[in-house]
Amino acid sequence: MRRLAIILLLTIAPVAVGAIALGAYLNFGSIRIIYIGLVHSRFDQLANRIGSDIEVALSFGLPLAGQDTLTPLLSREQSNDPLLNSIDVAGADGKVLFSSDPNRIGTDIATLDGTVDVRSRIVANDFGVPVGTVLARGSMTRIQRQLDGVAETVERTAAITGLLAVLISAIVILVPLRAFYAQALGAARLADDATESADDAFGWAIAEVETAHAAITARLGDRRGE
Amino acid sequence: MRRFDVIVLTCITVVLVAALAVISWRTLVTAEGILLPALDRKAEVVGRSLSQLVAQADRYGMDLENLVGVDAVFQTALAESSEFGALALLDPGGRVIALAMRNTSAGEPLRGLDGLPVGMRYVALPIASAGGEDLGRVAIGIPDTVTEAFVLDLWLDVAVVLLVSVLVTLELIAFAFAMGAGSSLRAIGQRLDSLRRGDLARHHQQQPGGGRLGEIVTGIDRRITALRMRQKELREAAFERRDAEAMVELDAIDRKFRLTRERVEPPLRVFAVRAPLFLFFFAEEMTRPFLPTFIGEVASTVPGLSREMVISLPIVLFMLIVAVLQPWLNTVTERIGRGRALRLGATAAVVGFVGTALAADLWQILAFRSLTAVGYAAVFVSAQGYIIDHTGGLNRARGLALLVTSIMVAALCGPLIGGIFADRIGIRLTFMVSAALSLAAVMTARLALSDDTGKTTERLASVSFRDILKVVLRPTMGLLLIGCALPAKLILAGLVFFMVPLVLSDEGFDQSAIGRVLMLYALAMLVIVPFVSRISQVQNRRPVLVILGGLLAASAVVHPFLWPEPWGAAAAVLQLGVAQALSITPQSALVGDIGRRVAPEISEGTLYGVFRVIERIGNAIGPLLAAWLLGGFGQGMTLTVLGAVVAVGAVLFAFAVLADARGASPIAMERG
Repeated sequence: MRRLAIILLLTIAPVAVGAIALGAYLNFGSIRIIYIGLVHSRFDQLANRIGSDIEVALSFGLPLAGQDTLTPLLSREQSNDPLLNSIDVAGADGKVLFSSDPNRIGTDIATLDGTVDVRSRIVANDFGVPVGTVLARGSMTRIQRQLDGVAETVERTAAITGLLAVLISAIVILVPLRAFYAQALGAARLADDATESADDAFGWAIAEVETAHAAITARLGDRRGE
Repeated sequence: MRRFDVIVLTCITVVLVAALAVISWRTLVTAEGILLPALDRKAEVVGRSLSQLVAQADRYGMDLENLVGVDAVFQTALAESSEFGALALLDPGGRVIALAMRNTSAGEPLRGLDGLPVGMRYVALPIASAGGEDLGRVAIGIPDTVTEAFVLDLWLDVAVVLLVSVLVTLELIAFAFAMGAGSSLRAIGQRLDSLRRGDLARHHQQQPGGGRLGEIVTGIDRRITALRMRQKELREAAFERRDAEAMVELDAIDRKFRLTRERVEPPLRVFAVRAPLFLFFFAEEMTRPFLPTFIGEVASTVPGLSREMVISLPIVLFMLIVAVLQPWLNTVTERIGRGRALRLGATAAVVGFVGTALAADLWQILAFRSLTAVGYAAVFVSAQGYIIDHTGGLNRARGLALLVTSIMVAALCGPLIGGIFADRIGIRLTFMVSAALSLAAVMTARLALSDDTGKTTERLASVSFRDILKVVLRPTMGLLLIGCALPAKLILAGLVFFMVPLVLSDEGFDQSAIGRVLMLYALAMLVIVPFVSRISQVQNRRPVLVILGGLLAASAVVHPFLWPEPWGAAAAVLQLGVAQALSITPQSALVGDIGRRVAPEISEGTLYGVFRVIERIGNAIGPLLAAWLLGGFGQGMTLTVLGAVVAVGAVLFAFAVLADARGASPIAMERG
């Protein structure tokens, strides 16, 4: 029984733990996707609005490089959102013309930065020709920090429930297994040709057949005597 | 024994439900702390855009009260932000000038005294004129139930995890009780269950484990055998003495306690193959939702072939390899041993899955999917051979039913979990998970099938091309196989394995949703096949069920025309599952029925061998045909042609059956 119990525990407990771990991962993963989706959505809205303002100015004949009012606008919008590193407006050559971060002016937007989450919007003139790009650059570190609290809660809850699940699984397996094993050992009397009684839950059928057979044997023996 | 299974499964289910519910609840409570502020910020951004728009109108001299088209603009903004329930323009006094609302499932939301919909909290952004004058406000309504709406998909995924965990637990319990002391305990449990019911029919020859438990099993069997022999002796004696009363009594005892009956049960060692088989097929079924998409992403174009044809190539090659290898592999697995062959096959598939995960172009995908196909064929043939080796006569059908059930449960769980993994961890990593499961299959096979001796009791017939021709050229048999069996697999592989995942993915549905659609086929099969197996025992019902199943399968293609996706695809897959559940068992039985009459010189083994080969050919043709039609003519034509192929085959078979009923064909349908 010990070996069977170990096999059952070693096979079922990991399934329970795996299911809980996967469930926890799905929970956190979903919240992460939703949260980042919300953040991206508002970055997109912001980039769209700024892009639309630029295109209106372009349609009045004001070239992109001449739209100096962008700098205070970008600074104001960036200050409203703590998750933003900067908001940039780049020209057609990919060089930043305006930015909420003065250090970024003149840099190339194609330069990769793994710590930044970028949402962008192409700006086009009235002929549909792209003339620039608006980039809302979010800080992945700050975004992740927002999620850390949720991650910690999920991990803690999963660890506690996982541990409880293993303990309860062990009890759930061992208690009925012991009862089953005891019942199986008790069935030894059925194998030992012991006399069964009619109210024996397992032996009643054997008892009834043996009784009937004995009666029929006796009658057939009497008839032979006749 | 059943009680043990029920107790353990129920308790494990309750534990998992409770654990997952607690995790979900805690996650949601904590997540509201970041989601609600994020929603507010988004509302501010949206509100600022709209307030600037209104302020601009004011600068052009337009009065707020007389603005035209505000509702439409707000409705567009609302459509772009599914989290919000309402957008309103308010005058400085708070009166609603314009309003856009999102209807709920209960219809238009109720409005409060302020004119704004209830059940929401509002984020208000001021509208200021150029001179700083307060013109009013833009108010964005965020429903109180927004976070619950966010996580509806999550709860579906968690429910899937729960279902799959319970089914996997069931398989693992069966696995644990198939070995050593577990098998003896199970044997005792089965006997005790029978004795409690008063059922003394003979249990199938078991091979209990050693030790005390094994002795108990042997002892119980010996005692019951003694009763059965005594019953037989007494009956003979009563017959000799012409003691009618004694014979009546003995017959009554027999009816009550089934003393002369044989129990049709597969031996316990057959259960040992379920766990490795389940794990292996689970690994392969996990790839169903995303395989076409993955091939499409990785494979470059091939001159002269449409995108769809290129995507179908690995799938078609897989099916062809399985079709070609299966007849030949039976001899090979027999020679090297079923258990060893199963382990080798699963190992080949491990390499195949890993290679597919790392594949960088179409040729690598073709190579590694081919290796997986070799493994697939080896595992299937080995498992089938193992069951046949250890069963015979009446209990073989029960044994093979175990194999089918394992595959169907894997087909239910695999796409569900595969879709979730693909969405969360990516497709390539999901192939690695499949590799890990395949490795688990190798290990469980090593444990469970370790006493594989390579000896077999019966040789399965191999099938040659001449055999195939000999069989299909018999008219009614040919119509059954080419008209019904082949189209059944053709539409399954073409529609369910190829077209549905590809089309739904192209339409933007995630892999989890695709997995939920695909599992409907296996669900229908699992629920309906046991019922149909019973009613198709009556021979004259079989042709009707096959024809009905065929026509129902053909009409399944109508749903994508009627309903928006994914409901159209879901309805089609479900109806196809129902249809094939109706026809699969009677179709298989008809092969033997018809074969015995029209081709008595051909062995049943060869007949069924040809049947399986034809089915596999259907599996291979399906994706190829679907791909060619999809690439050249579009979805509508593809569905129409697939449905027509199945319908025509069913109708032609129906004509053959009718001709037989009128006596024009050598087949005689038995009545009842």
